[in-house]
Amino acid sequence: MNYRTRELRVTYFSYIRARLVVVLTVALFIALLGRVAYLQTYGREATISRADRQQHLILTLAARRGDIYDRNGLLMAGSIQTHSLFVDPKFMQDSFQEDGRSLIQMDQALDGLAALIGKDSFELSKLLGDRATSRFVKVAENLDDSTVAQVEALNLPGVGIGSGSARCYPMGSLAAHVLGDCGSDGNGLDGLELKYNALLSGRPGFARETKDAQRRPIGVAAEDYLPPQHGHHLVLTIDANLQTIAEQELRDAVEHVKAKSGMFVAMDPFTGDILALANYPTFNPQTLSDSTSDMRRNSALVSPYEPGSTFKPFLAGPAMMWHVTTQSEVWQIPGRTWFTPYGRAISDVEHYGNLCTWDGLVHSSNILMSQLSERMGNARLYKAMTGFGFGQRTGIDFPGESPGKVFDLKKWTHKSTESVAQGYELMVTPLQLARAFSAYANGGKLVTPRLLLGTVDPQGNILSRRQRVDFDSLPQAIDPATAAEVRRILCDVVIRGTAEGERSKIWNVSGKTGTAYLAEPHGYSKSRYNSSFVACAPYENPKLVVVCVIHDPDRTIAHYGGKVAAPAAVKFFERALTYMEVPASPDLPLPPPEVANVLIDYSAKQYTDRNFGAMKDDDSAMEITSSQ
Amino acid sequence: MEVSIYRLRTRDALTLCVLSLLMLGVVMVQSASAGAAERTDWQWSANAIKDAVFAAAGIVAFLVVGHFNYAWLGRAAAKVRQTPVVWIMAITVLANLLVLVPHIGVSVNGARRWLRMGPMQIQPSELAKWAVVLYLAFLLARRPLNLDRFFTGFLPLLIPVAVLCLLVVIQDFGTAVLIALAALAMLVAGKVRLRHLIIVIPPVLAAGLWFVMHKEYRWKRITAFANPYAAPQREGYHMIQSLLSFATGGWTGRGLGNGIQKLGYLPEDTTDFIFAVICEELGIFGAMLTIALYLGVLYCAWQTVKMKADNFGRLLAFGVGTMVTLQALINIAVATVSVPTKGLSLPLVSAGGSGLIITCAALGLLRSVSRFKNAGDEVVEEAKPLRIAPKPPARRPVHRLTERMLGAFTTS
Repeated sequence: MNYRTRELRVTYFSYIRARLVVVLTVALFIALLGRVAYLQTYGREATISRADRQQHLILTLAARRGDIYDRNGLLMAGSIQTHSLFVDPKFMQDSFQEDGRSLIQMDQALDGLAALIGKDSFELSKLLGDRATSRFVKVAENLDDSTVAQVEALNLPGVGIGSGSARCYPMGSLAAHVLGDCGSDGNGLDGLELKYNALLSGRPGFARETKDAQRRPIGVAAEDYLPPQHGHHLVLTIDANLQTIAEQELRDAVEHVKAKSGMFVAMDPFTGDILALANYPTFNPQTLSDSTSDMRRNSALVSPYEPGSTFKPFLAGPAMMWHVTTQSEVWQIPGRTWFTPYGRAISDVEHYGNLCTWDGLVHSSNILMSQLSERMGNARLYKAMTGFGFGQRTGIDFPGESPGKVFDLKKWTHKSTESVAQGYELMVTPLQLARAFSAYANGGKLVTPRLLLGTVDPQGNILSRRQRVDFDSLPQAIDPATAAEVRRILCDVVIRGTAEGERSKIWNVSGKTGTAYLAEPHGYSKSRYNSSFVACAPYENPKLVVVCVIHDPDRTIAHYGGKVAAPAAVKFFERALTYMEVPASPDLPLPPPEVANVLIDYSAKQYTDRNFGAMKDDDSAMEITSSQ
Repeated sequence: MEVSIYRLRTRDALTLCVLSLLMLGVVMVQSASAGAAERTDWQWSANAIKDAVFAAAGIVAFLVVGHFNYAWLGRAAAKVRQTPVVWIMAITVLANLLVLVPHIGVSVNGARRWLRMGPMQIQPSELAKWAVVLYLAFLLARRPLNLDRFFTGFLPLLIPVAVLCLLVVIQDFGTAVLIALAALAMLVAGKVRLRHLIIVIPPVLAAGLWFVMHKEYRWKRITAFANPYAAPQREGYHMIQSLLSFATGGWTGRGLGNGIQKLGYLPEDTTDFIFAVICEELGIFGAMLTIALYLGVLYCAWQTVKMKADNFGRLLAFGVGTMVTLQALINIAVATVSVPTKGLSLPLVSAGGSGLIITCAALGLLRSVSRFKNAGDEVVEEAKPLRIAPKPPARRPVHRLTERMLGAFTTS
């Protein structure tokens, strides 16, 4: 290295200072790397939820609500797809502003939309204006396909079509009270739709969709998708055909006597299956707004009433079982009116002379039943009532079932004995009556009524089926022999008793009428009644138990249970048993000789000749009724 | 020098780093500009094709510039008009003046930053970055005036830099800050007196502060940095979206191409905020890789500096390395919301245009220095007619103290 080179290689460069700069830079880089690591781990917690909200959209995948079928597999309630219209007002505004269009132009565009969906354009603008920063406003529901196509043709930014479902009842108002109804959110509000709501609705699924800034979907990760579990289908014990017959007969009966309302229950006495359950007036669950809540109430289950004479068999039966009396015992009936030992007047409709127990039931003698009740005593009366399940819920699978009312024995007054004997001072539902009468029909067993036969999963597999009723383990309300005796006695009701003339020529009907005064705020009404009929048929092997209650008939037309409710029930039997292909009944067995001897106006021809006292022409029957 | 195939020469390491950064850039620009909503099959996006073309051009520029001797640029001819640096400085100042004239300067997104040059647009501020590096390297190596004197040496020679900074700050505040920082680094390394710097820095800072505060949108950016969530849709938007990118990726990243923030949420995702995309998709590994490559560039620059080339070469190598790494540093600091938002791209990685080629050419200078390191003698000889300060200034005790304090870092 020569001198010149050495001298020229004077360094104007400070390595120390340069190193300082470099070290500082490296340190800052490492610090930034630390910052990155912090943002990706601990710092993430503060921001990840915001990122998640921004980048994802959680879609609820609606579960299809299960259908409801009748016992033959006919669809009674189903769900159909509908469309709803929603608007993203913020997106709409932004789009219009980006395109350089004014808000007035947006309002004009909204006018077109409003016209399509049948809304007031001012209201629509106001709705969207009030929620201008919102990202989702539901504007219309239940749109049909053509409207949807027209809306899509408008090609408005921020307008979307969502799909929903609406409940539909293809049978209209049929069995409306059993099915109940659904709200606009698709949840059951009433009836079985409410009772089995959880089963019917299933479980909605969801998809967590990743979307880009224009809210276009990018994809769904496998772990972000949960498919919906569709609801289960219900199969009911209701038979749509029997239900139709029941509703027709009930409507005819109610309208014929210009009554306020009516209730009708038909059940299988051996299984407790409710085959038909009708209330009148009825409603259409599809158009809820047309009906009042009174019309929607399933009175047959939830509105108890005083049964009147239909209650008498449930006292007479136990009395015979406990040997308090026999069917042939003759009771002293002094006249139309009889005074109890404490002086209360008990009246009959007609004075037939002294009656045996058999005739007392057939002619529904209040005097006889009062004397019998006094002999039984309150404790046994109470035991008889509760033994038939009165005062307790039947256990049917229906929401809001009423237990009726049976007063506690301690609350009974001295008048209660006679009142109960005539079917007052207690409240029963038609369903309870049907269940109790089933005991007479099936040999004394107290069945549990039911509406649900089974469930079917969305794929069509039968999931559950109600177990066959273990008949022997059911509570015994009355012994089989007495049950058969009472059933035989009640066959006379339609032949020579309170429903004389309402007999069926094909089947033997065993029933009991009732005509109960309506309770009013100050004692019982003198002119308003509940006319009812409880019956089973055919007598030999009962297939159906029916309770028909007509509330407040116009007494100028008819009001006795035998003339108002019984015809409806018997007509129902004739049509229903025909539909069920039940063979015609053989002739009724004659009463045992010791009974036949004490029956009034007894003639064996009554039982062998089916035209004897058979259903007469309606008009003449009514004439006789009104003349009585 | 013993040439061995087992030894990675500095300039080859630099080539690798530059190539890697360019390729990382092309891949990430492709990823960031791919819209998953339109098409799901593979397609080159227009942005990525453009970036790939520029990257290829950049590599060519890098190699070509690296092929020639840098000494020509540092030539100090007898006449001023024969000195290249003077011309470069003059052209740059002119370009930066021109761009401010309406109808000549092209405005993009409200900022007048571009000059149309035939089919291409160039940013004069990009030119300014490298002109300052060249000018300072020349100045500090040649010392036409006595830099130990403040009013007669230091200040007059700094005036062109100040003028350029003033012109740039009108267009692009971030670039001006970058130029000022790089200039500071070069002045520090180039043995100017520290007290001169201490006198100069406060007025510059004050001017910068005044400049930020007197324009409302700049001040809003600063306040938004304090709390981005106060205006999440306006000033805070960039910052929030960048933070969300880091959160979305987590430290493992979502995988290359799987980023969500790039789908319209993160603005400037192929340019200023591409680091956020890298981190979202590649996680901490992507951040480490990127930073390692810049540190590689810095390492190559440092190795070149240590090759004991001539003063100009050393300062040029140091200036180029500092400029590139400082820009990367500021960009990453912005992307991680460590400093307020500035419009600086990530050098070599961001989707670029002319700026990418210019940066590559500047790095080519670094390659040239590492290659022609011994050419210095000749150049210095040519420079003899200029009054070169023959002796370094006498050391003062305070300097020795500084040296001793910093001795811990040094080995030489």
